Amino acid sequence: MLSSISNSEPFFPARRGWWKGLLAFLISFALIAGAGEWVSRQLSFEHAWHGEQVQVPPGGILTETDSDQFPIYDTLYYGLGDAIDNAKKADVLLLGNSRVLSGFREKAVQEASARSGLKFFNLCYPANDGMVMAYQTILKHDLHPKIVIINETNFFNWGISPFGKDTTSLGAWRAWVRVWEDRISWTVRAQLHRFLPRFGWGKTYRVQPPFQYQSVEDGCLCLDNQLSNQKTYTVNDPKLSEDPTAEEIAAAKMFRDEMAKRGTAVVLTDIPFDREPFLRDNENKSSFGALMKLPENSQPFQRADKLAKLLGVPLIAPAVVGLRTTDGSHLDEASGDKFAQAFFQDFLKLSRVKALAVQEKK
Amino acid sequence: MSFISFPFIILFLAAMACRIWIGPTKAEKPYLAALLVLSLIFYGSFIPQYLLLLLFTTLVDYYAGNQIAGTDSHPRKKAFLVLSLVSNLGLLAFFKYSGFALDNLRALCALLGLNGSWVPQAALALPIGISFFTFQSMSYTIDLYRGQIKPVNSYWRFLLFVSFFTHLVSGPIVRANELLYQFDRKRSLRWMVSLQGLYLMILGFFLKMVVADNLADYVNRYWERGGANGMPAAVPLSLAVMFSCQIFADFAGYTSIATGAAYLLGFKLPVNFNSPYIALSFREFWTRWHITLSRWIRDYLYIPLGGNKGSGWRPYWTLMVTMVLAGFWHGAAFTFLIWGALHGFFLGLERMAGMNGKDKGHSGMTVFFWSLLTQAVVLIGWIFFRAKSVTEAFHFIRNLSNVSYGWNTLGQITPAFFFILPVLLMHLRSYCVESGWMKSPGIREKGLWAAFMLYFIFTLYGKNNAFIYFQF
Repeated sequence: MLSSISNSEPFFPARRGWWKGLLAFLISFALIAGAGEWVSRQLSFEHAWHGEQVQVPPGGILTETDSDQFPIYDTLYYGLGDAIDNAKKADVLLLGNSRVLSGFREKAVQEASARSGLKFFNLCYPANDGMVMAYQTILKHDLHPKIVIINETNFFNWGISPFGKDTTSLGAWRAWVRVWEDRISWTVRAQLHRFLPRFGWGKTYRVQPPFQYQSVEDGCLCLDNQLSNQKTYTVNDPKLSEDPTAEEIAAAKMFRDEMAKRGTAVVLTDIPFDREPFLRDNENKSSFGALMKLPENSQPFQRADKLAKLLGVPLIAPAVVGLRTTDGSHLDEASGDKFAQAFFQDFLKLSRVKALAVQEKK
Repeated sequence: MSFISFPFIILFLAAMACRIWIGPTKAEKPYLAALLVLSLIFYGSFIPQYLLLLLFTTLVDYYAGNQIAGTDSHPRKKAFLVLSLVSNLGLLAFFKYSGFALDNLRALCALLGLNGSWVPQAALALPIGISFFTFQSMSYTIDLYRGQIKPVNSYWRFLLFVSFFTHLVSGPIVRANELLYQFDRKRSLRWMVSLQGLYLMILGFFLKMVVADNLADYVNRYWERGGANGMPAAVPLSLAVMFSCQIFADFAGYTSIATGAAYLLGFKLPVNFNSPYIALSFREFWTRWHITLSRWIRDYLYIPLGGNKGSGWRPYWTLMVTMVLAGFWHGAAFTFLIWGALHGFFLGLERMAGMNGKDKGHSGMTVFFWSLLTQAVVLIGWIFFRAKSVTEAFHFIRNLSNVSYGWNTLGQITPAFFFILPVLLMHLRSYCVESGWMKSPGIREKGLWAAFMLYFIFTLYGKNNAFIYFQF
C-alpha cells in the first residue's frame, strides 16, 4: 500500500466532502498566520522581516544580493540595462573582488569624481574570479578606460568562480531572465512580508534581510545593511604572504599589455582585510555578529609591492589606522570611506591622473 | 525555468486557464496544442537553442517508431531501433560525457608525461533534462520494437508526450503507455481532484523551498569542513544526514510539484518516491527511491543484459554493471561510478545472503540489522554523490571514525537539524501507515497540513537553489 509521503498519495479520492478539507485548510491557515504575526510582533521577535524596504536610489538598482551573486555577473557580463553603457563612459574602472565594493563605496568615489572631474565605474566581480571576468568583460564590451585600478589580492590568475562559470556558459537570454526574476522576487517578497513575516531560522534579519544596492551610474555600493554598531574585535597581525608566482606574474603582464593596447594605464592597490583568519578556512565566518578591527600597522602585501615593481605600475596602498571589517574580509562603511579617501588623496596626485583631470575639466 | 520561479507560476496559471476555458475535458485539441506550446516555452526558457535538440530527438524517434511499427522485417525493425538508440545515446554521450572523457584524456597524458594541451576543452553547457527526455523518448521506440505499444499517429502528440513541462527536465520518467493514452481520455475538472493536485504541489514546494533549500544553505557552506583534517565524526555524520534529507526533499519535492501540476491539468504521472528511508533492504530502497528510473533500468538494461538468468556470478555481474551504469547516468564523474558500484555490490551481497525480501525465513533482529546496514550504506553513498572528488569523499568517510570532540562547526550547523524534522516525521508517519498502526491522512488532516506547509513556504523559505537533479 502506498503511504503518505511525497507524490505517493492515493489518486482518485472520493468525490464528496472536498469542502471539509478546504474549510480545515482555511481555518488552520488563519490561525497559524495569526499566531505567527503575534509571535513576530508582540514578542519583539527580532529575527523576522516585515517587508520594510529602503527607497530605491536614483539611477535604479544594479542588483540586490540577498539571494545569489548571479545578477551582478549577468548584468555586467551581458551588459544588461545601463550599467555597461556607464562603464563605457568611465575614465577609471575599479577591478577586483567584493572587497573593492566595500572599499570604494559610492560616497567616496563621488567625492573623488567631483574633485577630479573623472568618471569612475566599479566593475568588480564579487566572488573570487581572478581576472577572468573583468578581462572578458573589457574585451566583450570593448571598454577603453584611461585607467584601471586593480585590487591585487587574488586578481592575477585564471581562476573563475561558480557564478562566473555559470554566467559565461548560459547565455544572454538566461541572464536576462534571471535578473528580471530577481527583481520581481525582491519586490513581491517585500509586499508579501507586510502580511506574513519572513522568519530567519538560524539567521538574523535585523528588520531587513541582508541586501546591497549597487548604482547603475557608477557600479558602486550605494546602500547596504551590513553590520553596524556591533561589538568590535581586534584581529591578528597580518603575515606577509609569499612572493607572486611565475603564473601570476605572467598573467599580470598579459593583462597590463592588453590594457596598454587600449591606451589604459594600470594602478594597483591592496585593500586591507583580516588576512590571517580569513586565510584560515574562513573559520571566522561564525562571528558574523561582530565587527573586526584590523591591526593598526596594516601594510600592503609584499607581493603587491613586488608585482607593482615588476609591472612598472604604481601601487597605492595607504596604511590607514582604525579600520574594521564586518566579517574579516570586507571593510565596513566608515572604514571603506576612510580607506578610499586616503587612496584617492594619493591617486589624484599621480601625474597621469592630474593630466587627465585637467583634460576633463577643460 | 525552474518550478521555483515567478515565470513558472505565470506559465502554470496560463496552463490552468487553458484547462478551464479550452480544455474542460482535457482531450480537446486546442488544449493539447496550448500545453505543447507552453511546454516548449518552458524548455526554451533555459537555453532556446537547445529546443532544436529536443525537436531532433523526438523527430528521429517518431520516425524510427513509425518505421519499426510499419514493417514486419525484423532486421529493418532492428536497424531503426539502432538508429533511435544511437541518436539518443550519442547526444547524451556528446553533451554529458565528452567533457569527462576529455578531462581524463588530459589527465592520462599528464600521467604518461605527454603534452595534453592538444586535447580540447568541453565548453558546451549541458542541455537541461537531457538524461530524462532521451530515456523517455528512447523507451518509446524500444516498446514499439518489443510490440508492447502501438505507434502514436501524430508527431505533435509524441512531442507533447516527451516535452510535457511537468516531467520534462527531472522526471518522473514516464513511458508512452502511461501518458499517451491519457491524451484522449476525457476527464472534467473536479473540486476533489483540484484540491488533491494543489495539496501535492504545496507538499512539493514545502519540501523544496523550506526543507531542501534551507538544508542546502548549511550543506553547501560547511560540506568541505566535513573532510577537513581532524574534524570530529559528528560533523561529517551530521552533514551526510543533512544532505540525505536535502536530496530527498529536493527531488521528491520536484516530483510532487510535477505530479500535482499534471494532476491539475488532467494527467496522472507515475509515483516516483515512497518513503525511501524506511526501506529494510537495498532492493526495497530501489523500489522506493526514484522508482521510475529503477524500473526503466530494470526493464531496458538489467533484463536485456540477462537479469536474474544465468548461473554462478553472471547475475551478480549483470547487477553490478547495471548499477554502475545507473550511477554514470547521474553524472560524468568517478564519484557517481563509485556510488553506483556501492549499491551494485550491496544489492549483490543482499541477494547472496537472501536478504532481499524474497527469503522470509530471517529473524526480526536480522532484518532490523540489515535495514540499519542498508540505511548506513545509502548514507555513505550520498557522500560520494555529493562530493566533488573521490578524494574528498574518502576524507569525509575517514573523519566518520574520528571520535574526538569539537563543538565549533557542529554548533554552527545545529539550526539545520530543524529542517530534518519534516523528513523524519513524514517517514515515521509512512512507516506507521504501512505497519497498519495509523491511517493515511484524511481530507481534513490534509487541509491542516497544507495550511502549515503553505505558511512555512511563505515565511521560512530558503535561499533559492537549483534543483539538484537539474544537472543530470
